[in-house]
Amino acid sequence: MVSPRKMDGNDMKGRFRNLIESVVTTAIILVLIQTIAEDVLVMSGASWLIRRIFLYTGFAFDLFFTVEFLIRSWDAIIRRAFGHYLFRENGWVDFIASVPLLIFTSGPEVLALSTGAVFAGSGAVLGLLKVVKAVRMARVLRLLRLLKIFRRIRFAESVMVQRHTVRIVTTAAATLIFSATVIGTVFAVTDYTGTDEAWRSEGEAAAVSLEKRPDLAAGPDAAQLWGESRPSVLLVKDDDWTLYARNDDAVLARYFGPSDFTIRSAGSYSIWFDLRPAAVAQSKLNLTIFLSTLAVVLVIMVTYSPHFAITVSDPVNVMARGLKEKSYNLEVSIPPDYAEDGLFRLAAAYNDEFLPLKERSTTEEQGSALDISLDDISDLLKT
Amino acid sequence: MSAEQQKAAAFVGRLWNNPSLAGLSPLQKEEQLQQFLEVNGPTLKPTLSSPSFFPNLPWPRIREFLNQALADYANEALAPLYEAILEKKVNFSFIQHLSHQSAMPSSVQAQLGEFMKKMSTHPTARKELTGPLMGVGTDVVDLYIERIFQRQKYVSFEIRKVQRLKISPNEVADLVKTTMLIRPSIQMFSSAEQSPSSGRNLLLISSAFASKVIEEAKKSLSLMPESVVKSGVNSALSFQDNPYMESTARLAAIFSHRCRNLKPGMKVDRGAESSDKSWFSVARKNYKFYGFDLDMLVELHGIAAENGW
Repeated sequence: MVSPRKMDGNDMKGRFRNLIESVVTTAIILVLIQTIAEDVLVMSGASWLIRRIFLYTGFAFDLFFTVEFLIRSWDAIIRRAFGHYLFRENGWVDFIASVPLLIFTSGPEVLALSTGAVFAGSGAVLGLLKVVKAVRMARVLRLLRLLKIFRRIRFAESVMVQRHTVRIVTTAAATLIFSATVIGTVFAVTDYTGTDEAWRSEGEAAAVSLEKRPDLAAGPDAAQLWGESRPSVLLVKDDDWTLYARNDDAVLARYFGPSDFTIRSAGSYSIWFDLRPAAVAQSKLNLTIFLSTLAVVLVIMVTYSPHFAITVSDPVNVMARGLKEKSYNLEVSIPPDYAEDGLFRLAAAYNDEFLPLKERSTTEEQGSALDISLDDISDLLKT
Repeated sequence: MSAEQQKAAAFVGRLWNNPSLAGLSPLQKEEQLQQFLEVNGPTLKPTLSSPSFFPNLPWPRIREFLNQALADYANEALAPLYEAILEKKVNFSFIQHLSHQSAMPSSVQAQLGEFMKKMSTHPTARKELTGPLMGVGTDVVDLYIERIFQRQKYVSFEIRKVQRLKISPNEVADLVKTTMLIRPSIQMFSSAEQSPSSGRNLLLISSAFASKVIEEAKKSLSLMPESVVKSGVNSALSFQDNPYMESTARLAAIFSHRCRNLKPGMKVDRGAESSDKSWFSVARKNYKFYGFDLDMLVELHGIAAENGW
């Protein structure tokens, strides 16, 4: 009976490393799905209970990737290769797509939820919406995880094709993600008027008007009239007395989370404003960037990889084999459209000059090219 | 069988069955392994001189044992191969349209079989048999002849109008295959003057030498129509110097060369042309060197390109 080969330390280490890499890849795919789902849920007006679950899972993923980054960094530091990891092995992607997200987005959100505070929306001024918007924009950085997946997918046999395609994919995707994040953040903190800015302005104007004319909401009837004429107003209270409520308490409890509204005081009044339309606008933007980046990446992979293979790596591989292997005498296929490319002019010389010369040389030597080498019989020589 | 012979047979047997040689004909394998032993002699020598193999034997003696074992393996595989090829791959009924004497196809087949066995005992003729055996053993010739007659261009014109062969395309294919099998006889009848001292094969011969070989070959192939024997020998003439040589001889020359290193089922890399197309393209550039008919090569290249061969 043949005994199974004992696994040595290196095998174990290699298997463990592969297992961890597989777990990380799975997590990357899941976090991308999670991010898309989170935005879709915001847009579809899902209940707060469901959206809260996704906030927690988002936090868990950011924590996971932060720990992963720290472990990889520690490993690289021990190997005295931190610079190499950071710049050559895309460690910067690991960093940007983990630590800032944990510190500025999911971390504060979860902290606020667990302590009962209201993150961002708890501010008394609607100007904090800008911060919310800028912070949410950063979630797009999770897309950078895509780059890591592409390095693990073997979508082309040739290493050269893989490297070139991955380089182009990472450049295009990273540029798109960074520019969208930076431009989006700049727009978020400036006063250009857009849909959500108009929404915010409408809320501010409502609060100011009630400050100047408290009589507008004096009594339930006036408050009802005033509240219904202001789409952003959810609730108007005079001290603890509810003058106007757009929705009943059950709807508020079911569909509104702490970050979905903000409260502003105007004299003795407390006005609750609906922040969800601004979040929906932000989710639309995030999804647009997300899906556009995915489309760019997929289109590059589908169209550029074969193009690169046909015009660069395949002819190079054929010529390399022809030069190296005596028995290999296949011509390079030259696409008519690219016949004038430098590489195919070289291939034409290989076809027209080198191969005929090689054939004559082989004939003059009176021997066929060897298909068998010493490597093929290494086991035989050991006996 | 001595202990050394047994060891040599065991060693060669494992070389013979090496997966890297899978798909090659017995003669291709033999040639490959002879070259392999020649090229890698210095590396193999220490191992093969060790107590596990042939201790106390000089390297030339070890080579003798190995070469003999190799020849035994090849011969063992060749006998049934000849039989199978002549039985299943060539139909000798075409001779009835060519011959003035009434020889039975089976008799011609048997005589050619004996002639082939005789040729395979001659070192250079044996080497030269590699291409014809591979060409006849596979369906290369049949496939091209079929397309040639479908196209009705230069080659079919040469066969029908110039050589005036009034036989079916299948019979033409059988005639070309028989011509290919006779072709190595030029090596067998070559003397020291014609054949270089190194034992290398003659690439092209003169018409005067061809005439002598035809006379000798006719003695061994007395039942074969003379035109077929002539065509087989003339296939080693240069078409540039002998523009009136038979079209079947020209085809036999091309297919013999083509099939010498043919590897059936060879995987074509992405970005490379197909095997036949590449070979005919290269042959077009070397046509003078090999004495090929350029127009035939152009047509065969076109057929290979059209069919992705």
